[in-house]
Amino acid sequence: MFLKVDSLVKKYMSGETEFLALNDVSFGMEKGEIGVVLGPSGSGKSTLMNIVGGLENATSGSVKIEENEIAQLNSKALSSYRRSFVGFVFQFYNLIPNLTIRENIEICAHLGKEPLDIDQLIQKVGLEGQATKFPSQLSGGQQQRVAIARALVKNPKLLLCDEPTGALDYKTSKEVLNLFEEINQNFHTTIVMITHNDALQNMAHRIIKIKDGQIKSNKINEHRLPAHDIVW
Amino acid sequence: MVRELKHNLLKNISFVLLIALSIMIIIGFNRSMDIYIATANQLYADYNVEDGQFSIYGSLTKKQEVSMERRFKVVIEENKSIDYALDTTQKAKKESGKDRILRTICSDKDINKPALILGAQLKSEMDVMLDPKFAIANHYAIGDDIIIRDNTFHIVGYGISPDYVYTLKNASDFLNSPETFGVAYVTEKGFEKIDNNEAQSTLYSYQSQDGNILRLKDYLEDHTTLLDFREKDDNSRIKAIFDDANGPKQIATVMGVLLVIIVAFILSISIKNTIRSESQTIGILYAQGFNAKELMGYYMLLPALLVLLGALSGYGGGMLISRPLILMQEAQYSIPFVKLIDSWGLIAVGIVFPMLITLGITFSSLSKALNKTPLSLLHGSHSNNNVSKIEKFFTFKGTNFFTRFRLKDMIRERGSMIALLFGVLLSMMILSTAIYIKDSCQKYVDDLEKNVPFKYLYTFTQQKDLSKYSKKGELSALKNVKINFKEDKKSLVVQGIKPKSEFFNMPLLDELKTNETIASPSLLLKFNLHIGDQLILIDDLDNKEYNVVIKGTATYDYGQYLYTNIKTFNHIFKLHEESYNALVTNQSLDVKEEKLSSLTNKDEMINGVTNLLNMISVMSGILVVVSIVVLMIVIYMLMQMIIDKAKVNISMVKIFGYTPSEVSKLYLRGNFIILVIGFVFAVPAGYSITKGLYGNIMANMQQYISPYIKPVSVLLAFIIMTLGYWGTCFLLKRNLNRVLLTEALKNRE
Repeated sequence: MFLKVDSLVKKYMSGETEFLALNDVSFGMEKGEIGVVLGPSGSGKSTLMNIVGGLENATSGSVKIEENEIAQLNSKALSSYRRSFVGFVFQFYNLIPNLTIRENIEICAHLGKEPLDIDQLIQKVGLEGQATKFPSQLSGGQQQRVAIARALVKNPKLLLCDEPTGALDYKTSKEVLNLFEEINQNFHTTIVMITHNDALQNMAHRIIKIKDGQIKSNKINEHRLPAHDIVW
Repeated sequence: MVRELKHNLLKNISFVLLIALSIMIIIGFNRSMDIYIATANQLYADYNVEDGQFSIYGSLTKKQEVSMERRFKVVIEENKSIDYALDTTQKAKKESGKDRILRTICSDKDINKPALILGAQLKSEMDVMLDPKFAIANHYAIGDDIIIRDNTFHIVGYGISPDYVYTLKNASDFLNSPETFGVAYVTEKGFEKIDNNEAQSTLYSYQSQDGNILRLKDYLEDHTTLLDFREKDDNSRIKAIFDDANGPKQIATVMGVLLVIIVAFILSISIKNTIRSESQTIGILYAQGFNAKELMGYYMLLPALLVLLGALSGYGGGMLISRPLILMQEAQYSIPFVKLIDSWGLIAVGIVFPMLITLGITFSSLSKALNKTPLSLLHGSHSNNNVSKIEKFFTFKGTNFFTRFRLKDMIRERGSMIALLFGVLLSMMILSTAIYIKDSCQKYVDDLEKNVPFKYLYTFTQQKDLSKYSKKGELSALKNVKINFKEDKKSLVVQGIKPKSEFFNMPLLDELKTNETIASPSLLLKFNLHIGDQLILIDDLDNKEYNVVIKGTATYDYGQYLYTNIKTFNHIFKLHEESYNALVTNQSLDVKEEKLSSLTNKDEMINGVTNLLNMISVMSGILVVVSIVVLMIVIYMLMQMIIDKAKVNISMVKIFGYTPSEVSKLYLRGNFIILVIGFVFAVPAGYSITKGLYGNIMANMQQYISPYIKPVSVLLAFIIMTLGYWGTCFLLKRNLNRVLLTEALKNRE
């Protein structure tokens, strides 16, 4: 198993009240899979992504990436983990406004031991000729492509996407999803997508449903659809 | 608002501190100097200060006095005094080993009446009132006895007359020396006991009723041998207290005002950032029905509170520091009282001015920001992605990524960078001025040994008195003249030196031709003169003018002097070829004070300047501390605002996996260059400020301290600045490390 989550628990303190965000979550993913984590607001999917992405520690349990345990690492080790293993794509792109497209990608290129070629990546995400433009000069979909390229440039083993199409219209969303599919096919990057859009499960290799901090189902998608065939 | 205050506690404290510091400087210096100016004015009014004085060979008859008073609408009064070298057996001389001159003045007069500072008024003929500085320096207490000319006087009190507030031996002297010169006041009968009636000249004080002094002076020139005519504005004993007050006051006011403006600018940047980050909240409030006025009131409240707090603290602090500043002045001057004044003007400057400036700028920023539609405000946090033309223009191609990132960020935050540059420049100007002031004074003291090639320079009132001492030194000639400088007349001395002088080693002297002179370096600097300049020397006494040219720079510097050979000197002033009136010597001569028009004593000069240096060192130290505090606060505030604005981006790069040192490299590196730029400009600025300050203080003195800074002091200043910067960076790095990863994760639905 490329990613193995075992009995993961995450508790938060809210004043004097203890809140259980994740309650004994276990699942696994193979290398090169596209996994979609579905759940309503407050289900714990973002917390799960945070822990798997090395943004915070678990209260208890285990998270292994290629047999490397990450659930209880200190902040320095987590930073090193994120640098080497993980790429992030967020709902609202979070590009740096005064850097060009090329520079926004370059900011992550320094982190990879063997980063991908920036210009080829720009071409791959369909932004050829836009390298010297600034984020404000691009559409939402184009900005998300830049965010994807930025996440990919350091050649991460795991790509974590938090509502990647949440801020996009239907047409643009489909384009972005097509891109994820291409990336998965070309780079064999394991992709985990957190979303509350049910339709996205159709393009996944694995569908994980989460509710109230617990895994409700974890199954292989026997009837995958290409991204361009998904409708919602 | 309390939450907002606590949330950015350090930033808010920094605002308050900077405002307080700037107001404290303005109020402290203005109040203390205003008090001194008011005190001097009150003293001069209450004790009838002279409008001027003149001395003539011989004396006026009573008839002449009355006639002159009527004709020229003046009041003339003889200023009876006698200089006496205190007996060597008397106490303090044994301890100090220095000669002490006590000028005993007849107190029965209407002009320049002595004011009692401590003790009792003169009653009997054997009562004496001493000037307090001399008394304390020489351990004379009230109740002690003092022998003046074999007469035992009883010290009943300490006092001073307005014409000796700055107790100089000669009106054109530079520094007082309480250990070696002081004044004493006795009754008329007491004066008769010590008066030897050998005075060849008489000093008179006058008060003019119509201000028309020229006619009086012309009359004296025509009907007497006028030795000296000096209006009170030319008399350092009277004027120095004002000159000393105005210079520091002006500089402190300018620096304080500049600091307030910089703080106002920083505040406006902070407000803009706050509005930007809270634009959605504001948009929601607008949508709910709040109006601009209500929101304006809310957003103005915290800045108003901070500025008011800072202004009140600064005002209080200024009142506090004005006390030691007053005491510093008290160390220099003898005054019977201190007239405490508090003007509405100071309250306006200290409280109203910073409120108006900062809140005016805040109001303007807020108005612009709140003028937007609710919808555009709702979209605010996402619409801060615009890139200006200047940002598009500067691509910084060819630089490495980190450098490019930093430079681009500095362009984006150019408002903050400009404020940082000005803040750094101001603080470094204060630092360099502090060091310049001290180093200049130190150099002056250190160089006095080589700059004064003699121990004594005696200038006689009459050449015939000089002949008795001619073999005890080298004959010379001196003449006091004036030049026009910035619509005012300034004093200097021309000295004629014998060929092959044993004291003066200036080969150029012997080559000087008609009307050619060489100038002391301080003369050139004080009056912006250069080699080749032609000067018109004005002899106020004889109403004549003489043209000279500056041919070189002298190797000696003990005042505002033009040197020439004795032949040229006598030619310029149309005197006999072998005309001398001064003696340069290394021996102390037993000469009656009344035979001398001036005496330059090297040891007294060194002593006086050393006392000044001690005072200046304290002031310099305070200014160094102030400069570093200002530097650290300005850097901290501005960089913290930039960090706050870039929180999401900082969080993002941490999510990507950037280490803390890499994050520091992205967001903090590069500011040091701004400090270096500020430092580079501040050093020459410090020179100019010091030049102006010393020029102001010594405007009417025949002395000038050239601004100077040791190379090692420049290095030290740079190190101090760097340490201050590193200290601030340490705090900023800590704040960078505290930016949570979750900042970037907040933008989620």
